[in-house]
Amino acid sequence: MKKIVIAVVVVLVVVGGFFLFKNSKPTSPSGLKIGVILPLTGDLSITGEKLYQGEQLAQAQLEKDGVQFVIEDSHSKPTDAVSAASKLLNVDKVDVIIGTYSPDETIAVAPLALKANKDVFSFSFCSDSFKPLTNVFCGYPNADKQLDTVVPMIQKKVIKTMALIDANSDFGIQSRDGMVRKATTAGYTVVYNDLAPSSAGDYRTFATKIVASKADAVFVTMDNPTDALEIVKELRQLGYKETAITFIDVDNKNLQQFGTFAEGTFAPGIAPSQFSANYTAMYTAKYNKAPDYVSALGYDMTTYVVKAMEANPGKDVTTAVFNYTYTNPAIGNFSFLQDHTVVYQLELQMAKNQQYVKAVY
Amino acid sequence: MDIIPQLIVNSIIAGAIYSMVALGFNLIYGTAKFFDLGYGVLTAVGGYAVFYFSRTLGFDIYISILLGVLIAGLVGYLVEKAVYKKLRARKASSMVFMVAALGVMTTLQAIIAILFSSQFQVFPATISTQTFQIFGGVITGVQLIALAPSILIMFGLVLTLRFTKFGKAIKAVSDDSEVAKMVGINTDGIISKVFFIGSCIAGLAGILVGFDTGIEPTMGFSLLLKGVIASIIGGVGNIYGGVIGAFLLGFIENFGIWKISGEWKDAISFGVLILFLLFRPNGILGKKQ
Repeated sequence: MKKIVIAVVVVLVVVGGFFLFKNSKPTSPSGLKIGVILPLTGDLSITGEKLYQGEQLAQAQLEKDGVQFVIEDSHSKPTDAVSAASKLLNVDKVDVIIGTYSPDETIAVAPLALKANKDVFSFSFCSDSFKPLTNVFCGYPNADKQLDTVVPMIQKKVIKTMALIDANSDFGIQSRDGMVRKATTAGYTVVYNDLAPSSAGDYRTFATKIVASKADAVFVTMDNPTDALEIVKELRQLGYKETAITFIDVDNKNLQQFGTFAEGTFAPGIAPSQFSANYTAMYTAKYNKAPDYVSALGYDMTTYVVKAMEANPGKDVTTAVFNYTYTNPAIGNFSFLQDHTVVYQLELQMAKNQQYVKAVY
Repeated sequence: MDIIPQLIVNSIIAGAIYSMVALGFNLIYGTAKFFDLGYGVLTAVGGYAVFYFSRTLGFDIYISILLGVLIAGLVGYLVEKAVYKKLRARKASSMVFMVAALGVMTTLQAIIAILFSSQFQVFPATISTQTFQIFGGVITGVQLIALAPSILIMFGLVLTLRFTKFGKAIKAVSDDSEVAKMVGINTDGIISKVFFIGSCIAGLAGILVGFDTGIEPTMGFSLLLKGVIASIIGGVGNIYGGVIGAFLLGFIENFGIWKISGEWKDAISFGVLILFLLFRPNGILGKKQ
């Protein structure tokens, strides 16, 4: 009899507890749980740390609404990004994934998120490889849009021959293909075209072949900005004085490492004038320096997605994002287009006195 | 600029760096008799020590270089005392040594990344920013400076091994450590000193790479692989062989990708390694077993 009473009590406690927790309200008013994947260590950490700074500014504001954030490090590797996504989706049960930075990380994570019926808001440029990935949004204009800022300079300087050296990654290959496509419009011929490994350190043979190609300009795309500037440095050491165009984060910190070698290098980017006064003040107060576009992107992507979800409870994230009008973004008129890409104005920048300024040519 | 003279210059620069790594690696392999995978990370230890002393603390660059070399040596020495010596006492298999060395490499890399971040760092351009023309090829002042140590270290090691009591003790331990112990040689002491010297050489190689390109925590592994390939090509454990293998590897890598994509560089290096392992496993100057 005693055993039966104990058994009944246990069953009542278990069943009662189940219903109690099942019907309990979330601990936060919004109940949103956001998974964030960033390359906080590894080759891309220089960018990851900046994205994190912007994300932290957004997080500080959004946590006041009760939104929970779970941050994971991708270690700049697609495989580790998948592990991070798996944990976020299966253990933390997040509502959406904000992040992954490189296209390769995004491509790796997207199918897993799709299986869990979740969207991925990647900080990556809008790679053509994302087109079949219906649950992926991207945070930076695609290669062609970036190249549009470079073409007028190429035409003005009457650059007739171009050397291309690109990372053997989705970003590198998409950028290279974009440059090949633009050749006819911009009026140049590609005389050297090669893919280079990341973090090789020694790019002398590549640089030697570029100099020997006698190209009027070189276009360098590497996943890690320092790799790209290292190639430019080695070219300059070999006496290459022609135009250098890089597809890298427009960040003065990178330039300062390479001193005079990076002077005059062109790069498409977001004009500092496009950062809102509100964001500039907020960033400067916390980090005691001027904001950069990467941190601004981290802020905008996080704020936009979470605010859209808060404003559209019960709706799927894609609908929520398109229903929402994001006011006062950090970057210009940051918003998403129906094709999941972003819209904002890029302009060509150039390195001058170890600072990126609007390009003059 | 003519491409061939520049490729020759590039090959010589690469060969000089690889030869330093191969010299230290060969010296350690010759006495400790295991593939010290942790050896490569000492290049990063040397590089980051210089970065810390010169950039963070503002020390004179030459004092920073000296400290960097000594710290790399000290770290190598301590790893030998704390890990490998104990494994030797337990008569651990070479597989255990290799796994332990892998652990040392991973741990030291992680510590460097925690202390300095994983970001690529560039040294201040304080040594030389000049460039020189040699037979139509361009070489920077730093690269020119990097050529000298590999030759000096090679001759220094040869003279030490041949004419000093310490060098003869190294050779004795290298030939047969049990017999060396029986005749009264402190084998553990010799191996520890060899680790210190070998690690100093690795540290110097890392510092020179730092001045030439830059440093990052994982830089040691690829350098180690090149040093190991150079050692195998030249003859593992042979001082001259390591240097010959290193320069040969430099030339093969640079001329190998002259007409094809640079992406093939590592594939060519390892292809040559496989060919040597198949057809000349003792290398160019290695003794037949």
